[in-house]
Amino acid sequence: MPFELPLLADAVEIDAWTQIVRFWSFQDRAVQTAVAGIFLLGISSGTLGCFIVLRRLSLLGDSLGHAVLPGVCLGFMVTWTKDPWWIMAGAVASALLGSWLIGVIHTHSRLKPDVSMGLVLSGFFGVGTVLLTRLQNFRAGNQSGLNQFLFGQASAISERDLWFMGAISVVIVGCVLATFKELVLTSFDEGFAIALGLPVRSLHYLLMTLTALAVVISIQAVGVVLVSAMLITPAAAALLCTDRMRNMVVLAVVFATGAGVLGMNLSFLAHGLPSGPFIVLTLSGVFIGAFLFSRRYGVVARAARHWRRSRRTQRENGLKSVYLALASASAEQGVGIAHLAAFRRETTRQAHKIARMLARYGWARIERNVVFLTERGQIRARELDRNYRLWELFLTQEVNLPHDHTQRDAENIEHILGPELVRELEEKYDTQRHVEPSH
Amino acid sequence: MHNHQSFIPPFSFREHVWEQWSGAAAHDTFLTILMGFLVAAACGWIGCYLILQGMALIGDAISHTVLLGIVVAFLLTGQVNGWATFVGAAVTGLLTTVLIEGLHSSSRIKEDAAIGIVFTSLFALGVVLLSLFAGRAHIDTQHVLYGSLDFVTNGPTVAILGVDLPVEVCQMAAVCAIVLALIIVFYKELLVVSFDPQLAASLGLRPRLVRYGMLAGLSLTVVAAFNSVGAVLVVAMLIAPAATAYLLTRRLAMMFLLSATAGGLSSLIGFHVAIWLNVSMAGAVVSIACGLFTLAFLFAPHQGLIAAVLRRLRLRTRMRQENILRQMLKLSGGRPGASVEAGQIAETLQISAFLFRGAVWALKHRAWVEAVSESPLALRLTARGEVQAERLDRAHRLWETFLVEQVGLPSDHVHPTAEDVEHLLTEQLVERVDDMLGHPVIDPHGAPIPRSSIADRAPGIFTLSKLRVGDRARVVGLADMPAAIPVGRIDLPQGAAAVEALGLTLGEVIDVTQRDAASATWTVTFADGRMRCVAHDLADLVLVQLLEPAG
Repeated sequence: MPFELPLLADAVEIDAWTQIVRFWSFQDRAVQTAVAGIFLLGISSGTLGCFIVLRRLSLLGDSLGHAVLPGVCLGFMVTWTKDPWWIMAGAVASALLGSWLIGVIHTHSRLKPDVSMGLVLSGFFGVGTVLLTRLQNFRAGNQSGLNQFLFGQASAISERDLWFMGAISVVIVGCVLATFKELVLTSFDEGFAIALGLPVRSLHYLLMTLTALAVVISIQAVGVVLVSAMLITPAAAALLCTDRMRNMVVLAVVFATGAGVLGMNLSFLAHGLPSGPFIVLTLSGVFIGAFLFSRRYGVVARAARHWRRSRRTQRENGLKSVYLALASASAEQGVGIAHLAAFRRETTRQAHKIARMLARYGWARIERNVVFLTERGQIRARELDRNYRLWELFLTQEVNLPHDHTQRDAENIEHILGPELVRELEEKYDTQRHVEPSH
Repeated sequence: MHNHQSFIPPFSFREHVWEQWSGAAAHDTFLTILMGFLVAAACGWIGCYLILQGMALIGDAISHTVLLGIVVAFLLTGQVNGWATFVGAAVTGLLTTVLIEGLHSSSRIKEDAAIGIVFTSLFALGVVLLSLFAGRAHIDTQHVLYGSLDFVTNGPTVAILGVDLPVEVCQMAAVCAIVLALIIVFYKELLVVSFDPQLAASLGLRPRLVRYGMLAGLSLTVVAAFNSVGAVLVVAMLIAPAATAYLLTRRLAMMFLLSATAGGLSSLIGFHVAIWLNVSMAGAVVSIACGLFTLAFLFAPHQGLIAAVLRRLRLRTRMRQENILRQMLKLSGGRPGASVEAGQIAETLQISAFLFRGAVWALKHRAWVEAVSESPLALRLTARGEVQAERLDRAHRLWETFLVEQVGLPSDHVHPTAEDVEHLLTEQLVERVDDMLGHPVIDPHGAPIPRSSIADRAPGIFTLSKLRVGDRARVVGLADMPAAIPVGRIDLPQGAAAVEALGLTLGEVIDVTQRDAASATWTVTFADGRMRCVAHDLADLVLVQLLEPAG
C-alpha cells in the first residue's frame, strides 16, 4: 500500500519564506525538538564517522543501517505503538546481530567481507520489508508511521525520542572521549597498538556497538537507507581539510550538524517531504565543497599548486637557456631573440613570449629584440646551473648512473633543490674543481 | 494482541498454493513467478561475476544510483518504462563507477568511503527529485525500496504470438537473454579474469572490456528489475543466489547454473509465502533467497559450517583414538600383548570417562584393541592395533628427529608439535622424512624409532637402507620402480653397476653389522665373512627379504 506523497505544488499555499522564517526563529516546538535531535545525532555520528572512515569500515555503517529495519518492526510489535524505547531496543539488537553475522559469515566461509556485508544488508532489509508490509495488514501497523523510518522524518522526532537520543549520544561521545587515544592509535597503526598491549579486538567491538547505536539514533531523522551518509560524508569531508585527528573530529561534527540543520530546513519547506535525502544532499554539498576548495587537499588548491610549479619550471628553463646562450657571448652583449629561438629550437614568437615572461619577473630586459639578463636574473641562473651540475655529479657518483643518463633527472630536479640540500651537496664535493660552468 | 487477525495466519495449502495454480489465477501466478525467476537469474549471473571480482559493493552502489537515472529519464520523457529509462540508468551506472574511481584515485578518500558517499548522494538526489516532481509517476519512494513484484501482471501488456504478456516480463526476459549472451560470449574471459587477472591480461583478454561489459549488463539488469524488486532488494538478488552457488561449487559453469536455480526456487517459494502472509512479494523472495543462503552456509557438502564442524569432530575423534593406541603401546612397555589398565590410559591422556568409553568401543570395533578376559578393566592391543600404534610412534619420533636435525629446534621443544603432527602425516610422507634423515634408529630423546611396517614390494621385502644392526636378510633384487617410496638418487643402470661392484648378488644372505649414522652407511657381512660398506643411495636401491630381525 503506497503512501501518499504530496506534491510541492500542493504546498504552495504555505509560503516558502514564511516556512524559512518559522524554521530559523525556532519558535515552533516541533522545530526545536527536531533541531535538538539533529544536533545530537550530528555530534555522535560526526565523532564516530571519523574512526569509521579511517578504518575503512564505511560500508559497515551502510549494512548496519539497513539491518535495523526488522528490529524496528519487531520493537514496534511489542507495544503496537511507536514507543521509542522498544523500537530503539529492537533496532540496537538487530544491528548488533547483523554485525555479528557479518563476522560469522566472513570467518566461516570463503566469501569476502564485502559479500558478507551485502548479504546481511539486503537479507535483513528483505526480512524487514516482509515484516513492514505484514504490519500494514493491521490498522495499528498501517497508521504507525513506521514508513518514516525508511527515508527519515525529522519533524516526527518527539520529546521522548529526544531524551533517548540524548542518552545514547552521551554514551557514544563519552565512550569515544574515554578511549580517544587508544582508538586513534588502533586506527592508524594496529600493529603498534597490539605491540603496546592495547585490547584491539575489544576496541573494535566497542566501535561496532557504538556505530550500531549511532545508526539507531539517526534513523528517525535520516532513515535506514541513507543513514550511512551521516557517518561517512562529514568525516570524509573533514579528512580532506585537516591532518590532525582532533581537528578532524571537530570539523566532522560541525559539518554534520550544520548540514543536518540546513537539510532539515529544506525538507520543512513542504509538508511531508522526507528529511533524510535532503540532509544527505546537503552533506554531499559540504563534501563537494571540501573536495574542491580544501586548502590542502582540494582539487582547486592542488591544481593551483601544479600550475604554479609548472610555470616556475618553464620560467627557470627559459632563464637557463638565455644564460647558456649568453655564455658564448659576453653578458653585456645580450642574446638576440632569433638566436634564443634557435637555441631553444622554438619559433621566434615562443622565444619572445619566454623573454617577456622573464622581463615581467625582473630577470631580464628586452631592448630591440635583444634579451639582457638583469643582476637578479644572472644570480638565479647561476644558481640553477650550479644545482643542475651538483645533482648530475651526485647521480653519477652516488647513484652510479652513466653520464649520458643523468641529464633528464637533473633538469627536473634543479628547480626544487632547497638551499640546505645544495649546501650539503657543495660540502660533499670539492665544488671549486667540478662545478664551475664548463662552457 | 488486540488485533482480530493473528500476526502469523494459519497456512492452508489449498488456499495459498493449490488455488493459486488452478483456473484463472494460474496465468498470473505463472507470470509473477516467471518474473521473479527472470530477475533472480539475471541478477544471480551478474552477481556471480561481482562476487568473484570482489565488486559486490559496486553492485550495491549501482543498484541504488540507477534510481537517479530512472527519475531523470522520467522527468525528461514522462515515461517510466521507455528506452530513455534504460539509457538513463546505463548513464548513471557508468557515472557511479566513474565517480567512485575518480574520487578515490584523486584524493585521500579510500574506496569504501568513496562508494558510500557517491551512492548515498546520487540516491538521495533521486529520492529528492522523485518526491518533489514525480508525484504523478507510478513510482513512489516506498516502491523505490522494495518494488511491486506482486503487481507485475497489472501493468500494460503486449501480445506476442497471440499471448498477452506484461511488458515488464518481456523486458526482463530480453535483459536476461542479453546477460546470458554476455556470459556465453565472454565465458572464457570471465573464467580467466575471475580467477587470474594477470594471466588474463597477459593472454590479451582485455579485462577492462569484460569489466565494462558486465557493468553495462548490471545497469541493464538493475533497471529492468527496478520496478519489480526496488533498489535495495536488487542488491539481495545480486548477492544472495550467487553467494549460495559460490558455497556449493567451485566450477564457474556450475555456479551460474546453481545461482539461477537458487533464484528460481526463491521466486517460487517467495510467491506463496507472500500470498500466505499478504506481504511484499519482493521482500518474501529476498528473505527466501537469504534463507537458501543460510542453508548452503550451514549444510554445503564441503564448505558448509556443519561439514567443517563434522570434519573437525572426526579429526578430533581419530586423534583421541590414536592417542589411546600410542599410550597403550607406551604403557605396555614394549611387551607385545601386555595388558594395560584402562583407568591408567584415561588418566594419563586426561580424557573424560564418557569419551574414553566411546573411543575404546570404536577401537574394539576395528579390532585394534581387545578386552583382557581375566580382568574386566584391562585392555590390550591386538596385533593389528600394535602395527597402528607403532606407525604413530614412528611418525612421532621421526618428526621429532626432523625438527631437531633439519629445523634446528632444541630437543625439549619438539614434543608438543610432534604430538599434533603424528596424526596428520601420511605414511608416504613419513617414509620420505625417514629417507631424508638417513633412516635413523633413535630419536633425539634416545628412544628407539619403530621400524617401517611398509614393505617396499612384496610383504617382508624392504630396501637395504631400512635394515638395522643385527638384521639378517637375503638380497632379492633391485628397487627398479622409482615410484617405490624412497627416491633413488642415482639412476638405475649406474646403480645396478655399483651394486654389482659391491658383490651383492641375488640370493646372497647378509648380516648388518654396523650402521654409521653420521655418513649414513651400512656395513654388511656376507656369509663367507666378506664385509662391505654400502652408502645410502645404493642401500635405497637394494631390495632384501628380512629373514631374522635383530633382537
